[in-house]
Amino acid sequence: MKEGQKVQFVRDHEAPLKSSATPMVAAGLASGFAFAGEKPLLDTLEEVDGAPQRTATWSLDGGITATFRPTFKEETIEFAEFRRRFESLEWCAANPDHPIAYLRAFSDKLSSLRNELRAMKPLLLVRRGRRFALIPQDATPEKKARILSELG
Amino acid sequence: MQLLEAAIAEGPGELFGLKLRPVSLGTLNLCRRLGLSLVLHHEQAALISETERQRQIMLFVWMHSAQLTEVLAAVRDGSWDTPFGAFAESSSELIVPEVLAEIRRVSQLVDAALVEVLPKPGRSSDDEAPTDILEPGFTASLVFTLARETGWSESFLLWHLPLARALQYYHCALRASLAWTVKPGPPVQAQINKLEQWAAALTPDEDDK
Repeated sequence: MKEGQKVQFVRDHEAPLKSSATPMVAAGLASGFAFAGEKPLLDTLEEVDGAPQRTATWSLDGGITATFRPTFKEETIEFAEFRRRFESLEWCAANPDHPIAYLRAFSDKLSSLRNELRAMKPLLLVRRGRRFALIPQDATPEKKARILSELG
Repeated sequence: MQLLEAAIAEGPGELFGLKLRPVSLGTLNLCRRLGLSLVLHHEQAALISETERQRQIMLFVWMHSAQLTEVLAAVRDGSWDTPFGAFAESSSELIVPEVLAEIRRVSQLVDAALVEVLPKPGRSSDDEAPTDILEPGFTASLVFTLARETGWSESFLLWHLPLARALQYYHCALRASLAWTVKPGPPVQAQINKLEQWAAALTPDEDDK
């Protein structure tokens, strides 16, 4: 993230692989929007009222706009043609405003996000007073102790 | 309430013939700097190896019994392992269980005095504050507040006022300013243990269902 950057947060309390926010974010990326930084997802697990609470927060660049151009003609096609176009990256690149190109881009973005999410584990969020710390699950005991010492 | 009242009698102590300064705001700060998890997170004591536990116990006794100027100079320039090493050599007969019991006793008094401030509804919240606001450090914040309220010297507040009492006086200052103070949440290690159990039950495949 950069100083002065406008950021749009998308937050919910579902695991990102289950959440409806993830396909929405993928749809946004397919439409031309972009993440606000290199680590666009903060996925945490914390105890709230004695129960686990998962919070996933996506950060998107709020300064970007997307333009949708209806530059395609109305047409009727069979599934075989739909499939040919959907599976052809060349066709999609040549027809970037066509709904089929959007569907393909959405599908690719969602698959890619889901692959990345499968490799991620939520950070453990612990609180002491008004301070909080985020602890990676695979942190070494030394790193964990260092993070906790910052909490006071 | 009994523990709060018990803290009133806190003061310098003696262990094995060594005169100890009380655990104070200043020595808590040193414990942080030297990574004394035994004192900072005493609930984790059982997880610390025997060798490390003994090392931390010796460090605890050294920092509370050696000349304060010597301790501060050694911690400041990072050379503390030299005077600490000499102390550890000459004090190898220290009885670990008794020091551990003392740390546990003081920790109970400190835990009883800890509070956290509950934000008041309808007041400006952290969400509305600019993101680049800087907060003072924990020790400076307490010393400043107590000095402002009482006129006591920085040296007394840092090194001679027992921590369990300093925290109670700080609580008084918070209440005098009409802050809502409540018992703090569960110890950090207890939070982590519970979260790790919950996290272990999560797998990406299960997430994906």
